[in-house]
Amino acid sequence: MTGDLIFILLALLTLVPAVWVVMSRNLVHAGFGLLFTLFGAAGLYAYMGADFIAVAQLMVYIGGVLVLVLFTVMMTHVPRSHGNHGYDRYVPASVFALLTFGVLYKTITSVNWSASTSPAEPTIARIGAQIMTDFIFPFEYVSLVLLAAMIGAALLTREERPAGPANAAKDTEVAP
Amino acid sequence: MNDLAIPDFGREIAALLPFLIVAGGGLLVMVTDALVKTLRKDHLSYLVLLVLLSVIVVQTTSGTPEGPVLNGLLLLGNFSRFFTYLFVVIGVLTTIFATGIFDRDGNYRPEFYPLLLFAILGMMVLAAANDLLTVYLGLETMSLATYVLAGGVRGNAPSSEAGFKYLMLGGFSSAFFLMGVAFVYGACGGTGFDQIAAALHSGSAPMPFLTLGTGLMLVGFGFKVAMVPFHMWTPDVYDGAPAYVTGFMATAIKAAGFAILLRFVLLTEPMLAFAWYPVLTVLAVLTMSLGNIVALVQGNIKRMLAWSSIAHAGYLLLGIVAILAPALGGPEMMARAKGIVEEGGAALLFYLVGYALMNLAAFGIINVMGTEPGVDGDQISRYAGLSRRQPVAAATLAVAMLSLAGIPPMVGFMAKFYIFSVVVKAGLIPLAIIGVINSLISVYYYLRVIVVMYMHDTAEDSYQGTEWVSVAAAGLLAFLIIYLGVMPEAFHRGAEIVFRQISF
Amino acid sequence: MNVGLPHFLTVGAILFALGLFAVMSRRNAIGILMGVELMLNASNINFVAFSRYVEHAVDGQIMAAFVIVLAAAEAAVALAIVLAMYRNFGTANADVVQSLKR
Repeated sequence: MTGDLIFILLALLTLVPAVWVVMSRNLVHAGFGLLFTLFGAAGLYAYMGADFIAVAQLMVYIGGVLVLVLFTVMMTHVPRSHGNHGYDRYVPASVFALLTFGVLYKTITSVNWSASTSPAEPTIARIGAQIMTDFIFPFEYVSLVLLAAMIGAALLTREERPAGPANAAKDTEVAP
Repeated sequence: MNDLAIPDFGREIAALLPFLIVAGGGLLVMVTDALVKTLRKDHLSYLVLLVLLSVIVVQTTSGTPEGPVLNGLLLLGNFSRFFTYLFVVIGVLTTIFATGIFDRDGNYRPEFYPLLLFAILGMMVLAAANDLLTVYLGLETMSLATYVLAGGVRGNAPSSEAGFKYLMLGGFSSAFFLMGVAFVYGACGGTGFDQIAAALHSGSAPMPFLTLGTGLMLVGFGFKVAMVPFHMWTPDVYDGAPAYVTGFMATAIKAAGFAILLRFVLLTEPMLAFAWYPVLTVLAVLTMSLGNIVALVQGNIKRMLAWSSIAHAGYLLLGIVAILAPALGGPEMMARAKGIVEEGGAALLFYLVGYALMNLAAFGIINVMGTEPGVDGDQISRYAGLSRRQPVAAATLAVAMLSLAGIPPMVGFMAKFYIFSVVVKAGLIPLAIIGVINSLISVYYYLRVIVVMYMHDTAEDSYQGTEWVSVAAAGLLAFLIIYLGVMPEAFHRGAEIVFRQISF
Repeated sequence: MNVGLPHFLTVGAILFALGLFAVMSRRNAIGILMGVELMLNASNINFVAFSRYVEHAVDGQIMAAFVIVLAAAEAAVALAIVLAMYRNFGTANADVVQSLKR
């Protein structure tokens, strides 16, 4: 029964702030809602015995993605600006969202699973072994993708030198 | 954990050489750009061309092993090799077009070259994928690189808007795709194509999960190939991105999207036909019709070609529908099914190549003619009198337009002919009629460009210069368009052989 | 109640629907991105749940790990694009950025 209680708490920790992410007028608040949602999802992973994924979620999502998101929110001065929300879009958006949820929920409940009752066991060792053998190609490959993303982000956010005679001297140095 | 099977990479390294060359080439280009200070602007492009040509050489000369490699994550063979050739050729032309425009508009960005190579790498992985994990990796690489290619012209508002829109819908589509993968994984107990096929044939997989999973994945693919309810990004992105990137997106991404869609359709054929055939049929018709009708009223040639590319996605979807049709038919249909599937696949491959040729020729000329991306330099009226100012460019664009419209001696006609004849053979005569009506409608807006170029007086602010390398490359494409249109048989037979590898 | 697969899948479905709602109703680019992140997390919950309750192998968890990595890469590019757009348009509001509708 404790297990059930923990599941319910974790599910609430994931879903209630998610509503906040979706509805909040202030994007900084939405970002903090996202923090709790991601944290709750990490808890759910740990609950299912996926400790590696839980840790990766904490480090990459909360430590990396979320910080980026919050920085971008602050750099684009949106917290105080109005009109972040489209109330006129609530109707079509909620129709689509409810429809999607309905289809997903109906499918989930239509299949009767023979429930697995074996206890969850740690998987870090197995994941490590598999990534180094069967999944070595994707493992190496994502490093290239990360590199491509890095070049892309650097290219997009690099400061522009305004053209003009004042900057002509600077232009001669080759940009790295 | 003691029985770690260290894989033997001897055979696989040789098989993966084309991938390694593109990946290594991307790194090399980047490092060269950073370290060598005395580069002229076009030096990097020569390096990129060298990398791409060496891929062609290596792939042609070395007998790369066939079959699954890397524990079944990739499937190498005729199919992946065919698409590698196609992507590399598109990459070569994109490099030529881009370098031509860098000389002129001052928007030189050396990062373009490695990102182009990474995008091509992602597409090659996508065409060779034999596991949903590799499909996802390929899709993401291709998309990430393309977001930046489309949105990376610094200080250019339309470009960053195009990048942003492509990103939003790309992220949205990969979320749908992943949710689909999750359900298929849950139903089949694995993401490998072999595992999925086995689960489908044994009938052990729960049907509702498969139906939902494949449906969500189709949404994801639908965004990539610009199928109709998911086509919203196409016009704005094609318009805002620089023309050389638009040409790359219109040809390479469409080809990669259809490559994986074709594999996916063949993999899940019986189940997919059962659950999604009616939806796909309706969407194919809508995609064709909407694309053609909206293209009629476009005054901007890039927007017109964007809507036309949606219409062409519709023709290609007709081919997919024809491939699926036999699985639904009665026993006498099943007997002919193998033939229809093979012909349909060959027709799709032929169409993708023909489409790439004619679109690249068109975008090559548009690129030369264009001013700033998104600025009204792409209005069709600016092409008035082009036949007198630049006869070669005008003739090339005319050939491309005629081919897109499907006028007989061009490759576009043969491509449509093969698709429609398969549709008729699959017993879907109404669909073939709708397709023919659609291509008749499309003749109007393609011919309008030719009329403007040849019949109208020269516009006053027209661009007068010329990039002979780009124009020559596009002219070569025009020659190929006519050549493949006149003598399609050999190539079509080759496409059939290529396709046979993936039709189980 | 015996917590099992359907419960986790339901949490995933709710999260997916919420993300979809955010993507469709938000006007701000970063708000839309947060919606996409919710959807990606929803599919990750499904991956881990299927891997735990159906397959008894770690394939699903490895898939989830790759999704996390690529989502991070995508987020980096996405936010860079939003910043570039903000520089060019002075806003991150997706509705204002409509120079191409002609």
